Amino acid sequence: MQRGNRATSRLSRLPWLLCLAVLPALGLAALVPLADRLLARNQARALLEQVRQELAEPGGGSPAGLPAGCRPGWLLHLHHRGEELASWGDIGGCGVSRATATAGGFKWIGRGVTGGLLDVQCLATRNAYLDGAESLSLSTRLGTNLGYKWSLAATVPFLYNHEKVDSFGVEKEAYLPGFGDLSLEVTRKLGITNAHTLTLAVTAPTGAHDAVRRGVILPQRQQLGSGVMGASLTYEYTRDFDWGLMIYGGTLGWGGWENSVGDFRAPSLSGYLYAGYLLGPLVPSAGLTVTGRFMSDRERHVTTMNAREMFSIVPTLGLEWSSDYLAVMLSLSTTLSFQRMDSWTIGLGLQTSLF
Amino acid sequence: MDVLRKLLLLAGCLTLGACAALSGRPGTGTQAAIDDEAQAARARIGRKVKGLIVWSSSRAGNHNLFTMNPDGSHIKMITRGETVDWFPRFSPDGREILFCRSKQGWVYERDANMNFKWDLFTVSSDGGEPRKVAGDACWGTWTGPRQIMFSRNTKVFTKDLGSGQEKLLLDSTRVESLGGAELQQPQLSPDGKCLALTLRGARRQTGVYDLQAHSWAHTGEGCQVNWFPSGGRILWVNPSGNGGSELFSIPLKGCRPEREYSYEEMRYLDIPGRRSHEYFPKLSPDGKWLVWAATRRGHDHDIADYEIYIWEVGRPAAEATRLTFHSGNDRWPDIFTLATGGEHAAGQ
Repeated sequence: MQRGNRATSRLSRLPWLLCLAVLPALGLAALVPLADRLLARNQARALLEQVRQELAEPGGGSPAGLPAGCRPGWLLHLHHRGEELASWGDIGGCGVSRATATAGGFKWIGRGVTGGLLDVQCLATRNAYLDGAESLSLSTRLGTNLGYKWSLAATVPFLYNHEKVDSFGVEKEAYLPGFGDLSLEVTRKLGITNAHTLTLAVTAPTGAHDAVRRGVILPQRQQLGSGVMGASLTYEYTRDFDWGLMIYGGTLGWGGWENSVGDFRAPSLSGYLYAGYLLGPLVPSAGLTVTGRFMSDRERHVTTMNAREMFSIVPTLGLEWSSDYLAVMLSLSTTLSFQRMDSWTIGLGLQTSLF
Repeated sequence: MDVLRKLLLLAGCLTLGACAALSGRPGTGTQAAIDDEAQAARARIGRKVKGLIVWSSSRAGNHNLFTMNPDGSHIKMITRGETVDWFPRFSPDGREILFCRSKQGWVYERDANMNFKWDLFTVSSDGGEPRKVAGDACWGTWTGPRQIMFSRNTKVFTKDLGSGQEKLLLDSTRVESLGGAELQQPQLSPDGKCLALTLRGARRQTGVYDLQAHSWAHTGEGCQVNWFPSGGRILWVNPSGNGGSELFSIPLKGCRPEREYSYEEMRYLDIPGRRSHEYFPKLSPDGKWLVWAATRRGHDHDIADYEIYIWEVGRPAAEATRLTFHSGNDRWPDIFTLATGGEHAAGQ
């Protein structure tokens, strides 16, 4: 019996162990650009050394006989400019990176998939709170372009929430599956290269906000929806680069009025930036989102946030692979609020463009 | 819940692992059928222009050079091997082709500015044994009957193929306005006074460098700047319009635009339809024909399914004619045209 419990315990730790394995892998992926740069630098140095030795050999390669680009002065110049020789190879044309919004807070950094009439993104996430609650979600985002400058999208999330609730003094498991709040967004591309976008998103209260399980109304975070209309306005700037900081943006979010059970999501302001490196079809990325709230959230008319929780930071790591027809993303993020980790999220995204 | 959790993690790891294991190289693809309408359009082109088009294609493995008539007929493979051969440019008399070749096997075009991965070769327009003309170099173009120009990361050189003498033309690390940027696809103006460039790395711009006044004029974003044969106008690729890219063009006075131009004024060509992601534009020596490649999906220059197009300059964009019908990657075309009744070394 004891052995069985130990085995179960080991099994329950398996997802955590897997995640612990994925984290360093993503970290290593983020170091690839650095390794690439070091490799390129070493190759350039080896090449220079080889030429230098040939020049030093008696009768070998007199400066006059060498092409102008290989004269000693040039070599000396190259030696002092070794850093610049270590090229990142950041070439590939224009319009290489184009981020798109994704439900769940993760962002596609790479090229993604384009060319069809209907862009489809699916994102499966697992969000785990440190106090044991968790939420699985599968969000589907359907988008289409209206001309060259406008695009429309709708996001439909399906959620599966789990939390231990206090049911009349007894702690019980509560599960809540169902559709969340439907989100509709319209995006306007701005600028001569469409590098700037402005997105207005409206959230409709299609998900349950007052679901009862085990005889109690579930806490706000475990509900499927907010119960009220919400809206957000996002500005985003995409730098057409192959590596480095590629995306900057900010979102002004309005969670709506207080809903029928006294829950209220405070207005917020977020700023984010993402860095990535386009390595052929693979794109490792890292992002940081900082969010501040103008006031505290309320639950059943009671203020639920203290001052430190009104400010949060979300670091994100991602790894994407894309072909002309399919793009895949694995992402990991954690939510930190003033020296404390609140939750972490792992996501798997798929993207295609149909018709 | 535990099962779902494990499934999600397992699916994520397996999917990414499988994706990572797949190569990023282009496929060799297959030839597609050409419908009657396309055949008729190609025949019309054949009646209007004689000459030769060269381009780089993955249809035989890593990219090789191929030639065809301007109507898409008589496709001929002129380089072979496992190296990547691309960016072909006809010599002024059309008898030779200058191209960039990887030193070893598959190399992404993304690494084109890593000059130590590439060499420049010439090959006869009708094939034969390629001859190395410059080491550690890429983006080669002809600046005279026996003179070429090329890029080595932050430097642009000219080289006399007769004497073998190289001359440094521009070093971006010594020009403040260029900021040490990598100099991609240098194109000398017909009068030899201005150098059109795409900057990458430290800067990301397109523009023209005045070789006499030593000044830089930033003309726009995008990439792949080309001169019109008259020298008074440039065109380039801008990431906007139908399909996510289109061609822009502006007039120049000397090496600079006279004024700022609006989006509508700069728009030059954006073909209608779904296959409208245009790249690699190149004008014929007489300025009457433009060739380029366009894809319907994807962007990667050396992987996506680009197809070669030809267009008679000044005609409606809808009259652009598709020349290749192959699911491999077809990129970087160049066209050499003959006066009607002329004869070409490559044979027709």
